[in-house]
Amino acid sequence: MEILPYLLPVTNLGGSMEVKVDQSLCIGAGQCAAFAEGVFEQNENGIAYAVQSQVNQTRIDEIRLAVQLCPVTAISLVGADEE
Amino acid sequence: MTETQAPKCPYSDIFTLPSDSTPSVPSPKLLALQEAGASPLLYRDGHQGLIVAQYDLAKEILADPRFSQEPQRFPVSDLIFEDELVDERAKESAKVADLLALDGEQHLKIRKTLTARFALNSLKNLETEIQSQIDQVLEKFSSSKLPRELHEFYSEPISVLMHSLLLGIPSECQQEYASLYTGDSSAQTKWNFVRNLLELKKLNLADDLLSDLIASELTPLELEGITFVLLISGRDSIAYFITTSAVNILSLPDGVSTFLEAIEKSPIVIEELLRFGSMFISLFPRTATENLTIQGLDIAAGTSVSVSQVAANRDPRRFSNPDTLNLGNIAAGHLSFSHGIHACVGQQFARIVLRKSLGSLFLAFPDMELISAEQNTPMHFAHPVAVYEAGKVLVGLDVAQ
Repeated sequence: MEILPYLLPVTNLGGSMEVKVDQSLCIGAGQCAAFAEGVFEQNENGIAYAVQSQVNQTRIDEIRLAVQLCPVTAISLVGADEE
Repeated sequence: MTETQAPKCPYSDIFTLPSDSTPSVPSPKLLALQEAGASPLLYRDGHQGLIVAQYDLAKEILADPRFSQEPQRFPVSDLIFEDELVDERAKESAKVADLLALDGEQHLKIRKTLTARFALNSLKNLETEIQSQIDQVLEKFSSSKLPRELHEFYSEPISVLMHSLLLGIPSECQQEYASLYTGDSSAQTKWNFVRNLLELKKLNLADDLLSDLIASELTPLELEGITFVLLISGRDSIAYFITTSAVNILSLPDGVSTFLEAIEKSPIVIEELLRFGSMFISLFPRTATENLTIQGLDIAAGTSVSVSQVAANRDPRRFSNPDTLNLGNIAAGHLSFSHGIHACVGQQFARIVLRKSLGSLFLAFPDMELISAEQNTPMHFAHPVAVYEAGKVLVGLDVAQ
């Protein structure tokens, strides 16, 4: 996928990043599973989870998009160089 | 920020929804609101609330749990609308299961009964059947009489079949479902249909959403209420988006070939069609449960706020050249399925149906031409909330015609 214009550029690719889904917030809208397929999936109740908590840097744009699209801000990137 | 004053007649500085919008060209009066964070909006019950047309503010308000879905009030527009009378049981059912009107725990309880069926892995199991049913509609549409009308003969039948498939509406009920829900019928008739449908389903449970709901711990009133909501919600929107997206694609120079190339590369092209053609001029209002300050905007407790999905999706701070449809744009992040805890539960299903309906239509008829689209001149809103009507769309299927 191309670089998404609205996302802030990732300035620090060093170090390890983890992605987490707070399942107590998830409402099963499926945005993360749809826009970062394979990084996130939905369980049998429709609740999302990260397939791997370790962030695959080649998927970082999709992961950041998923963070932004989640309607209930349930996804967090830990160790990311956030502003 | 506002003085308490009994509303007499609309003051000139209070906004009322303009009637000169079309899906592709929203009213300049509506888009002019993007500059201000929020503008006063007059509701039908005399309440003076706010309309928000800026993307960032809209998104934050939709995600803020300090707003309630109650009371349900509608902005002033020129649509004549009266509440319909329904029986007590219908009122009680709506009170406990109308997802659009509920807050908090009860909302989550009802919503959680739906999410398994709308999850992507569950939807993927339906893809073959979805495609096969769309192909059947397409075949009938191809042989319909000239000139061919897209909304009634392609989009609406698909929307009915797709809802029937996911919910599990038995084939013997589908014709009645189509006539009651795509045509004119009273709310009470719809409630009666819901009750009969559930009685029938209880005798023959299957692998579908209604069977899940019947087998769940929902009370009888909750079951009827959520079924009523599910039969309506999203059915009209899917039909609207198939029709409106087709009109928008056909209105672009080389639109069909550009679309077909784009969708072969990535389904993300659907997002631009959803953004540009968004349906809600204003969403169901959110009412502040306490005094709030959001992005510098003071909102007093009790104030209703309507987000203009149409205007926010065309906010130039968020989307470049927002008033132009550009099938190369990555428009994910639009608010066409709303945002926050009330974000559309069926949005991934809608995306699949929209992608397949448009893909199949234009693959079959790459030379399709737009003859006329009723929606290109302002129509009455389909609902006071307020949403666009898709209208009739006449198309020619080959250049030589």
